[in-house]
Amino acid sequence: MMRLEVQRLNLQIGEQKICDDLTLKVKPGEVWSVLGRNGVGKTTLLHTLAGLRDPLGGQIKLDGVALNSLATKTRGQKVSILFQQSQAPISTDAYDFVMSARHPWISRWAGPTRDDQDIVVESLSQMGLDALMHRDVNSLSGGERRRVELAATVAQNAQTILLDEPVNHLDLHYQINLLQGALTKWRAEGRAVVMVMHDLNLAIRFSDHLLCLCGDGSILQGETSAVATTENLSTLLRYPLQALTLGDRSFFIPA
Amino acid sequence: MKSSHRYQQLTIAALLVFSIAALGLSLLVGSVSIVWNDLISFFRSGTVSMTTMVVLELRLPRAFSAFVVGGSLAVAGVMMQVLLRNPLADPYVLGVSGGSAAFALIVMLLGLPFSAVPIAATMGAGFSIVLLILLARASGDWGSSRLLLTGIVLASGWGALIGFFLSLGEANQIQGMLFWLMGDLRPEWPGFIRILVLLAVLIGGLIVARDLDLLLEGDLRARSLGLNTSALRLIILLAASLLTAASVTLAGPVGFIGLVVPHMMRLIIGSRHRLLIPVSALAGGTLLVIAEMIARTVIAPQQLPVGVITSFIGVPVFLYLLRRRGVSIPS
Repeated sequence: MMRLEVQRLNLQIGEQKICDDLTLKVKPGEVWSVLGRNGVGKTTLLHTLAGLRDPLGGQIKLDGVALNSLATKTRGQKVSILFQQSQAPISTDAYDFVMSARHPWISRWAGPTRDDQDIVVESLSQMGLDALMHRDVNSLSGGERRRVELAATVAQNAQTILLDEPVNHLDLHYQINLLQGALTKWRAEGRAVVMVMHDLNLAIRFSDHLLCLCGDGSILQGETSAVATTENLSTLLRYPLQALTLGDRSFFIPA
Repeated sequence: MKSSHRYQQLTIAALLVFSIAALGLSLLVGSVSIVWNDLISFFRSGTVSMTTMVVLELRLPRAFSAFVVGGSLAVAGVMMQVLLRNPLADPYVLGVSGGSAAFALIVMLLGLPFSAVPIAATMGAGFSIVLLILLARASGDWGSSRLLLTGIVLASGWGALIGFFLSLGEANQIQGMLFWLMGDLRPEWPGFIRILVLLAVLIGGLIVARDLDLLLEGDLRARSLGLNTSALRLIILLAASLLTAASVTLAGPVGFIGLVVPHMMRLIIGSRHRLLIPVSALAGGTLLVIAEMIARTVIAPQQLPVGVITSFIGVPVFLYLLRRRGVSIPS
């Protein structure tokens, strides 16, 4: 069964077409990167997949169930989204912030259980935040805050994970650690990951499929090795690229 | 962690003691001082002296009303702060009390049945909040200054409307109306419905406390975590309108309780609504009982409208918060 399935999705912001008739099938354990120039609607697509925005047409299914037929709370258990930017700051400590990501799982009457607490501590620890657990989120640096948000994504424990520029603000070693560590784990657990990536080479290195939004509503998608050609990427980014080969990996740089 | 369990219990216990002490004190203090002998003879033989009359028929109901109004306004403040994601939101400052008062006045002047007044007051408050949301949200996110400016302009608009109605009023009613408009408590009981509204919002607030915490983190995030934010917003809107209307119809637009009390309580026990709501109700009630006592005694035997006292407290606190760039809500 498909973890995430999109049928004939039609999306538009104002007059601009984001995708027209997009069909997408993401299997458990796959990692997809969404590529495209600024303003082609990568974030809008992600929000739509998360159920935060209604498409003009088409259907989105999570584990075979239509997204818009899910109760809001169940939707929160099935799909999580890491936003590109968090909204205006409200002071709260890192622990509470991550605990709030458990909301879809917490019963209104019983409150957070021991399990919820353990999951929160574990998620923070996985992002290397043990020491910052009780720090106010607003007092953290951009990168630390990003890791808190990622810990929240981990804690939410959804089978479909959407990430909008997950490694924004992160130090280099965290970028690689996160992509290597978390993605490997998520793959092994059979989750589906769809992420918007700004860095072409990181996207190619860490995802098995690419979804390219061309800006005119047309889409290029497929396995990374098939899609990531100099010609395709140059057209996509509207700038000539050049491939450098190092060992068995190709890197693309502006020509 | 700022609020350990024991610390929370201590805070609530201290507030309970304070509120009972304030209520007791407000019965004893006033232009007619109570002599213990009167009370003792009242309880022994049931003889009602002049002074016990004063206590039972004037001070007790008024103190009780002050408690209910103060509690309602403080909780209305908490609700509006979640709804608008802004710690400076307050029913008085943003013109919600004004809208409620104006609608109530219109109904009275039109000579509609008196039972329509509370309904009109609730609608006025709700209308004002909706207007505030529509006007201030046009720019996308809730900019703090934009919200405040909009609210303050709305408040002065309602003020002008009320002033217009007042000038149509008869000369002998003017002083009473003016007092009411400044926020004035008369010696009457708060009434069953107002107590019910406050209790219902308190209980409902506890049930959705975690949802309120989440809504404060922003609409998108709350929705992505499975919260039906539009339904919750509607409930909050209704709660804030009912509480404001309940207070305004009893005591007129008393200012700043909804701003000062939640702010103080957040500093003491944090932003979690499970605690913030009940604690604000207690503290708001207590504060208004004390303010009412001061209003009665400071230039005795004359009485001030209680709203004058709360504004004397509220204005400096508001300015202080504004100066501290009061955008974020302390944890």
